Amino acid sequence: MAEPRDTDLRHLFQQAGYHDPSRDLTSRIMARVAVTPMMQPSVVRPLIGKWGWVAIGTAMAGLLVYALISAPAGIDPNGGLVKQLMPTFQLPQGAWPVWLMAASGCLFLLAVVDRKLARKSAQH
Amino acid sequence: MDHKSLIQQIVAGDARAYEQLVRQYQRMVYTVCMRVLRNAEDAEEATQDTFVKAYQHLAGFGGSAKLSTWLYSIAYRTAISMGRRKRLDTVAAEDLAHPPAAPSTNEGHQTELKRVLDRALGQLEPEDATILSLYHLDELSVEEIVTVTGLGASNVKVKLHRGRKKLQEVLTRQLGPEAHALLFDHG
Repeated sequence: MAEPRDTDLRHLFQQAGYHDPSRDLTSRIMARVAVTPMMQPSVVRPLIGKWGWVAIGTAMAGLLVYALISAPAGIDPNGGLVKQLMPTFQLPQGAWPVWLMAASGCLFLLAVVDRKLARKSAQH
Repeated sequence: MDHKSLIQQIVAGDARAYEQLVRQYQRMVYTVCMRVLRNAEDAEEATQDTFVKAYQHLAGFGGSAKLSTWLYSIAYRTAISMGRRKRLDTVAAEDLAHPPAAPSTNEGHQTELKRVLDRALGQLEPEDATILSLYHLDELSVEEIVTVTGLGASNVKVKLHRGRKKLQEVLTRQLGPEAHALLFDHG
């Protein structure tokens, strides 16, 4: 007895074909569609626009330059693990306040989320 | 007319364009619903629900998948959900209770094949029968079946393999070796 192969089954399925619904199915569907509102897709937009990012970038660069040229704020760039691992490494002279680091980190995260939203928006 | 411009017309409010889409796909959608629900009345209800849902969300159809795959996906999930609600789990047992009728000479070859295949598929799990049908009748790839069913690729492959094996057993049992050979010894 022959074993049905993929082509045999395909042949059988295609010979049998599709099922036929009742003849008035189309009109019943269209009657329901006539009273159904079409939903508009929810548009996902970036939280901050292009010019918003330019303004934020400029402000951050200004703050960074200000922090670098102002007096050191007490963080020792020559101590700790960095010094042990990379004895020749030295941070540029200047202040590296914690708030500036944290703000930069938050902005980076925000930029990543925003980029993802922009991509999602483009897919729609 | 290609699907993109057809969808644009529908979204712009052209009801005739949607009717054209319904006519084009209703048999395919109805067949998927029949494979899952195994009842003409429920399958028609599920087909209606599918096209109503598709209409509601058509404006959001991004075109990342084929339109047919998207419709199958809605149909499959609608039918599965309806099947769960109606707890249609006794049909296979009922079919087993009724031995297959002798082929009628008055029936067309296609009708007879459909009847034989339906009866055999009725012995499989609805999910396996639907996957077999999507693969062999609609010629969907494994990746497209993954999109339609939401199952993993390896799971789909297992179900295809298991479904083929079971279908072969059922056909042999129902038709006997001679009829089985007639069906499959065509090349």
